[in-house]
Amino acid sequence: MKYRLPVLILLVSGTVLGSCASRANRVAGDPLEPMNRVLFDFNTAMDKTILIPVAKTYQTITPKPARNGIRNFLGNLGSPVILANDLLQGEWKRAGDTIGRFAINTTVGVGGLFDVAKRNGLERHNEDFGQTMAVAGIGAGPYLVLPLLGPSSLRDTFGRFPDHYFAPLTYTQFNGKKTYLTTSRVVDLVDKRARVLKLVKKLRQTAFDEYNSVRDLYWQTRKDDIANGHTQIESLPEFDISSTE
Amino acid sequence: MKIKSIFAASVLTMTALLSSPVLASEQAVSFVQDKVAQMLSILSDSSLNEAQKEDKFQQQLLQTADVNVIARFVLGKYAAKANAQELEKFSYAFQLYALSVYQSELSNFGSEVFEVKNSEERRPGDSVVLTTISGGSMDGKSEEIKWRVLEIKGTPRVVDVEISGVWLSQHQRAEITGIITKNGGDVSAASKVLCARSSQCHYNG
Repeated sequence: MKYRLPVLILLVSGTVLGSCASRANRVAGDPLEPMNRVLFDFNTAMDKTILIPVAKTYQTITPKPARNGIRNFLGNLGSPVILANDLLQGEWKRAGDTIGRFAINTTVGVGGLFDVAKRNGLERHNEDFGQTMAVAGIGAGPYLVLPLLGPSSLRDTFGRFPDHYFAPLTYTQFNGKKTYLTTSRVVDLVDKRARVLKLVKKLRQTAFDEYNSVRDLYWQTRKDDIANGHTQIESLPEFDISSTE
Repeated sequence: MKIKSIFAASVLTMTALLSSPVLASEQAVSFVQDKVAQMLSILSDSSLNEAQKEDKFQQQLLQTADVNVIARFVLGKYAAKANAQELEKFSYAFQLYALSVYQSELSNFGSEVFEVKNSEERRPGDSVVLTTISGGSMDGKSEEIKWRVLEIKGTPRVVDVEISGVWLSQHQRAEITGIITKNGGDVSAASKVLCARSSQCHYNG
């Protein structure tokens, strides 16, 4: 599986190094930049005051093998969402991989705690309804920063709803409440944040404008996700080499 | 006889046309293989002190990537609007910035294993080479790295690298044009910001 942590982290990141963009300075694909920057700032504040301390504590008190087990378990629970989107995209081979991974990891992998399938050549991949819509030819729409959830686009925001209904935990209840779903989402967020503590720290230190940097990382990695990691070489930008001749 | 010659010439021409992209792509592959191996060998050379290592590594990096072409690319639409002096100052600041960033980022590498998986040609003289890196500091993982190689003045040169789905030159273009846009289209603003990130850079703007 390709390492998607740089983007996952950015779910909760954001520091506004510059002032809100003026109308003339707005970037194509981000017509809502002034509002997005405010939300980005809010997410950063939440990250620094709540999520980072929680993630650091989680990392300290939970041994690495246990954290790996939690990640594997939550990843395995997400398999039906991936499978549904594999099928909707007509990705039969990948759908087969997802079924194989789920079957192996749920049984031999003790309920998904161990990623036995990966050791047998079945790598995990990600799919979601936003990607499915992209494959169907639906454009991304404007860039959005969602409160607490981070970078997205109009298309990918809508994509969250079907994925919610593809997730088995949506249909479980504990004392009449969706405790399992909520707990799994919170643990998943903390685990993902813990895995990218150093990376985000570095991003915040090196980015010239973190909002700008995160937005580009989001667009680029989404494009790569939609293409399942295969570079569409015809869409690569041109480099001007005339100045060297 | 004449028809035979024309036929032979046509076959040869077709063969040359069909085979040249393959050769160009193979050239890009061997270029990436050689340059990465040389850089890794510098980084893992224990006979060199840190200053020597830095110096040799930077020389190698400049032979691998075309920093002037990348500098022009990261300026985006502002490249066409900048005058020669602004472009020169930006290229200077960008080169020092890029060298310091890559030096710092790559200094943890050395004992990793690079492997070329395949290559794809966009058009003659423009290829993408797919490699994997594993071992060493990779903590048991394997990561794909893609190299965009252009033929510039008859020599292969790297102009972009993709890691985890992110093309670095494209990312730097988003960052640099963001700075320039924020400063009303002033390219020298980006030069100053880049220069401030490198201890070797002395900007008089």
